[in-house]
Amino acid sequence: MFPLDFVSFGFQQLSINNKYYHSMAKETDLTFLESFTGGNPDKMKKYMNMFIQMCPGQLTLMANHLQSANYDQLRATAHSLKPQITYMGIKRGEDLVKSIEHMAAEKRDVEKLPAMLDEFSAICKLAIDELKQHVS
Amino acid sequence: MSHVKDIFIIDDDPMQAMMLQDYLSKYSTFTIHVYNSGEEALKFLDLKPQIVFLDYNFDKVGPDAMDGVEILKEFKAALPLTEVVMFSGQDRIEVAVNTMKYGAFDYIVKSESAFHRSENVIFNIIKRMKLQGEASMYKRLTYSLGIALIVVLIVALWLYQAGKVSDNPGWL
Repeated sequence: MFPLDFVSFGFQQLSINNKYYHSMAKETDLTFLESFTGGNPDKMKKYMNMFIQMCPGQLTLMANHLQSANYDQLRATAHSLKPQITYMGIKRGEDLVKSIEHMAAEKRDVEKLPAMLDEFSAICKLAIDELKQHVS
Repeated sequence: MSHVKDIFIIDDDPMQAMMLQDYLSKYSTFTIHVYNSGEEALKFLDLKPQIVFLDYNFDKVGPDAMDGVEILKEFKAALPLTEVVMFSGQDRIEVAVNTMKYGAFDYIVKSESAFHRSENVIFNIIKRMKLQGEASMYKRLTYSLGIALIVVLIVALWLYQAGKVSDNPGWL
């Protein structure tokens, strides 16, 4: 049993390190937004505020669609949120929202969707907190 | 930036629409009109926009909302000279082909490079409009020269038959 416990301990450590890493790491990368606005802080704030206002509603919609097994609408909402995630440089969220969109479109592995949506929502919430700090 | 005056942006994503509007606002010669649905934009056909940037999906508007291809068809039927550029978050080739089939000028995937591509598409449309203008001018010129030549020939033939000109050019 020793090797198994050892492996399990290793994974626990990895998971803890991962959580620590993500609590320290930035979810957003504003390189694109900065270049797009020419570094104009007012314009950057305008777009960040739009994202801060719109994203929570979109996440709630996605959760509602998932709960009612309305995968077509879940795909549509994920699809419309995708560009905004890209513009705010939320790299971890980008891949996740693409996967949610594809899986909902194909109605494949739907049992994995709740966990994926939870993770995506958590990433977005962290991103929103970061953006709020930038705005203030 | 001649020929292009009015540009429509039709997108149900306010952030995408605003970013494109801001990006294109550096060209003061354009008047940019933003609509969040095809139904709303079609009410303003009398503005005769030269370019329309049109989203492919309008899921946010509602389940009964016209989709991008339906709006594209309406625009091309009412204003055949208007160039429609489709926007979508999908990079599927069949979506692009489908929009081209119904007369879209180009297809742009919503990404970081979408705004720069939109600007390039406007330049390409302007270039094409200028070439079309020149081609039609040369066509008119060719027709005019052809008609003038026919008139000269008819007059010459009539003068010849009336005996007002002879075979002898005069210097022989």
